[in-house]
Amino acid sequence: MILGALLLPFLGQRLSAWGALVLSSLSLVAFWTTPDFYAVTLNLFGQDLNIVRIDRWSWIFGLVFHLAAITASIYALHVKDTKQHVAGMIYAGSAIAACCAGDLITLFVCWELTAVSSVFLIWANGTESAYRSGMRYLIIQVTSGVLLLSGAIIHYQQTGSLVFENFLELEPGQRGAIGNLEFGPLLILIAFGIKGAFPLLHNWLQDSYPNGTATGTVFLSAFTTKLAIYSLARGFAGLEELIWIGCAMTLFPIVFAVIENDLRRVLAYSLNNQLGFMVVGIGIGTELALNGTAAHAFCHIIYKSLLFMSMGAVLHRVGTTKATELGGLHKSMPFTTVFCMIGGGAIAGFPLLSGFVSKSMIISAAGHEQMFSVWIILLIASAGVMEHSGIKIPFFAFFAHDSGKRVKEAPWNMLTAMAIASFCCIAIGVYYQPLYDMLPFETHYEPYTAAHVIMQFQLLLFAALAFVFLMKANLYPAEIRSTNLDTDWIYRRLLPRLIGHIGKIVQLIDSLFRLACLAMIKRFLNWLANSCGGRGWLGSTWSTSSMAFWAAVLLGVFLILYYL
Amino acid sequence: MKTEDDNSNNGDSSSDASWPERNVNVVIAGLVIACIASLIAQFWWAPLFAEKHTEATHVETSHDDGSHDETAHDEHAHDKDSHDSTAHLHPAEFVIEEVFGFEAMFGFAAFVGVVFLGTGLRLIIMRDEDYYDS
Repeated sequence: MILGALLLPFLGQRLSAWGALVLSSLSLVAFWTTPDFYAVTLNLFGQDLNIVRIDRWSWIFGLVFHLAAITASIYALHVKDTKQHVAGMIYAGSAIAACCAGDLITLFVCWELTAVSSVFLIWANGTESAYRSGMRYLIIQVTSGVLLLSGAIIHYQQTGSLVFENFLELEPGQRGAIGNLEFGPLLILIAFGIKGAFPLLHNWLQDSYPNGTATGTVFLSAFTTKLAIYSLARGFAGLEELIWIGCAMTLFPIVFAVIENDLRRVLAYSLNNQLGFMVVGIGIGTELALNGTAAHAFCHIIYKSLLFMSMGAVLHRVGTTKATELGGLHKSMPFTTVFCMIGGGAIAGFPLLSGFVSKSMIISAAGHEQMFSVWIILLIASAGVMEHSGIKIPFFAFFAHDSGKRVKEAPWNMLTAMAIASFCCIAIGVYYQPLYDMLPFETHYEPYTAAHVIMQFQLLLFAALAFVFLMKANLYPAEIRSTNLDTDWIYRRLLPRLIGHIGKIVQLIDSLFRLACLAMIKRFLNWLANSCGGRGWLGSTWSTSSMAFWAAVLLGVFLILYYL
Repeated sequence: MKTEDDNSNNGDSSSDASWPERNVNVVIAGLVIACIASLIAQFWWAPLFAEKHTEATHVETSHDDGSHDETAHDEHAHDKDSHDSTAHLHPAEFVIEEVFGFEAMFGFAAFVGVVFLGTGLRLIIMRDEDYYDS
């Protein structure tokens, strides 16, 4: 696929978009016909590298990456910019290659390829802020890659193996603490954490995704973070700390999402929150939880691209995704509205839509392990998802106060892509068995028990009721054009300022020191002039007797010292 | 699902005259009815589940299973060990779930809580839109 992507430029502007679609479809066929447990090893510099290893984990992620690539290529058919298609295809191809990588070095190569290729999707936007944001994105992603490589090298030196498997050597159902990790795997964990948008390492996500092009962000939303989820699931399943990291990840973005004005950034926060669910699943590490993680990643990629596609369509037609400027678009973009609401319903986990059958697996896994606090946090997070993605996105974009904007409906290719994704959301929600059959472990999980459905309805409907109540009571925070600070403030403001301040302080100390030195030299010169000059006491003529007296004193002192 | 359907229908039918704008109250009423329906549903289903559970050895029990009180909880744990393969059928097992309308209250409270937290957070972190550009 990557090699194919390099051929795309020769197809010319008009054909390259179709070329991308054909390429991803061909790749899917090739992937589909690949036998299970297929493996390719290559001997490079005396080291056996497991370039391709396809097991059940790789299979499900590879498949959904292909689906995402195909829908995203359909979505991008109208784009004339060859560069974007090439970048998109290399990006998708390397993500697929990464999740089939059997060793850490191959993983690293694909890891960096995804970073470098995807940044072009941000830069393609052409604005100054997109350029800067892309640069920050690239720096952070490459840092993650470098950490991965360093971790891999240290791991190799300690164990002599580069095979990518669970670093804690845990079987599903066992859990281990972070203290059991060697230094190498710890570095790898941080690398995965950066890419997986762990709390405090997350902000590249909200920074860069809203700056991508309308079509580019659809690509972006599918691959990078889910690749990290895949890697975490393979490398660190059952790491207890991941449960709490995941819980934090599900909680804080929902609060930020409430007050964010840019709807694509709201989606980025919600993406972060969804990753939290998966990370919790990885941390719990039972078969049910890991199945839930894989299923959730699968569904998530589809409905999240659907949401980003609907917002991309809005961006394409209106030119902005700021909630303050939107509203009332359901009149002119009815299909996009419906698709967006299906996506919103799926992410919120309405029964019969895809989020329900996957998210409930993770929540059930937490309940099954009797982790009460985790379970409660996940419930809060579910209500929060309803808030920001289920209600806020569709409501402020397509309903709310009428912005008076009357635009054309999205182009046919965007609608087709959204229709496919919506269809997948509903199909998985209704007919979930094929998905469950693909999961890494055999499962007998049954999402549609009457009680479970009723509970979910109660949770979501009453959350919606709360929204109505808050809107009626004027308590819901109004949309305000604003920038909300997040951890990117640290490296966008604090560090530059700090460096500026440190510079100033250094300068101040330096100038004070110079002044002090100059003053001292001046005083010394004065003293010298006073004392050694013609009228100074050292410069004046002294009597011989006083000289003889001082010489005698000196000799006496010597004599005493000698006897001592 | 009801609200979802309501709203999506609105989206379809209101290409020029804005149906939902004129009928906000209908949408809200639909939502309220759906909420009440979900509560009734729980009320309705809970005894049924209890019967089911006593009849069969391990049906797909669920959180609002009426027969589950605190003492039954331990039994349940037993159950789990002996039928490990079917244990995946149980969505979750906490006593608090058996409180009537727990998820409803929880959903409402969590939503309000999150929104208020967000409003509070605005005081700290909100800046001008071109904060980083200046």
